[in-house]
Amino acid sequence: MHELSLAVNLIEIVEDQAAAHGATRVREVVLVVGRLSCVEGDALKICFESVRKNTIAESATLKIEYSPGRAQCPECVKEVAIDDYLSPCPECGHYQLEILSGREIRVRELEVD
Amino acid sequence: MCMTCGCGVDQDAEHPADQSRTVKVEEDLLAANNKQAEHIRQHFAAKKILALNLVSSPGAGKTSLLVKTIAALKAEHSIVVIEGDQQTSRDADRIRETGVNALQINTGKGCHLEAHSIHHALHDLELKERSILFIENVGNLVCPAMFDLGEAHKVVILSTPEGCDKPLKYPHMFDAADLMLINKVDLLPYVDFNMEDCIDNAKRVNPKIDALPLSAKTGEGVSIWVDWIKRKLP
Repeated sequence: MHELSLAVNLIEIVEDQAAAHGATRVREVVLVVGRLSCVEGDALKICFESVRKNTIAESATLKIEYSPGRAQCPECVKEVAIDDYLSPCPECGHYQLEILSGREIRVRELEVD
Repeated sequence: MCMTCGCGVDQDAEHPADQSRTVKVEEDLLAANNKQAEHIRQHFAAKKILALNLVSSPGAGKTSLLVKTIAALKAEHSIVVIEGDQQTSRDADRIRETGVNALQINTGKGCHLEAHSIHHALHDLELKERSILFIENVGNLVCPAMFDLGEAHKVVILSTPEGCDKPLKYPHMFDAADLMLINKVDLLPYVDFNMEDCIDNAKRVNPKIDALPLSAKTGEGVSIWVDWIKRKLP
C-alpha cells in the first residue's frame, strides 16, 4: 500500500504550495498519473481522504488525470502510445518496446481560495 | 451566515465574487524521496561505494543468497548490509553471523524502504571507502519498485517455484531492475518452470534487463553473480 506514502507526500506538497501562495483553503488538487506508473488511483484517493484531515486541504477533492505511456519500437522505429508494459507495438506487433514516458506522478495544479 | 459556502457574509448582502484561483505546481510526487536518493548517490560516488537494492517477493531467497554472496566477497571487500523487514531482526542476525555489519530497519506497517530511512541508517553505519552496500528491501514485488534509495542498481530475485510468469504479473519491478537473478535452480526438476520463457517475459517488460540463473542453496551460478558485482565496482 505505497499509495499511503504517496498521499502523505502529496499533502506535504499541497501544504507547502498553499502556504507559498497565501491560500486559505484548497478546493481541488489536480494530479497527473502516468499510465505506466505503479499507482492505483482509487487507492490513492482513499488515502488522500484520510491524510487531508486537519490540513488546509481538508475539504479538497483529488482529481486524477491519466497521461498516456509513450514508447519507441526498436523494430519499426515509430513512437507509439501504450497503456501497459506488456502490449506489443500497435504498428508492427513487436514486443520489447523502449519506454519514453508514462511513469510520472506529478502535482499539476491546485485550486485555492 | 451565507448558505452557499459558509463564508460569514449575510445571505441578503451582496455575495463576494468567487475568490478561487489556480496555482500551477508541476511537482513530482516523489521529488522529496528522489532528492534524498540523489544526495545518497553522490555520497556513494564520492566514497566509491557500490550500493545494490535487492528486491523480491517474500521467500525468494534474498537473505540466503546474501549469506552466500558475502562468503565469496568478504575476504577482499568491505561489506555492509541494510535489512528491511516489517518486523523482527532475524535477517540482520543471519547476516551478522557471517561477520559483516548489518543494520535492521523495521518498517512496521510500511511495505517498502524509502530514501530517508537509508539516509538515517547511513549515519549509524560506518561505510569505508570502496565498500559494497547491500540493501535487502522488504519482500514485496510491488511497492519498492518506485522508491529510489540511491542505489547503483536494483536487482530483482525471482525463485523458480514462483513461476516464470512473474515478470508479466509484476511488471513495474522488472521494469525498474537492471538484473534478474533466478534463484532455486536446484528445484527445477520438481517445479513447473521454463527458464527461456522467464527470461523472455522479463525482456518483454524491460529489454535491457540481464538474467542470471543460480542457486543460493547449492552455490551453482553464484560465482557468475559475484563476478557481475565485481564488474560494477566503481
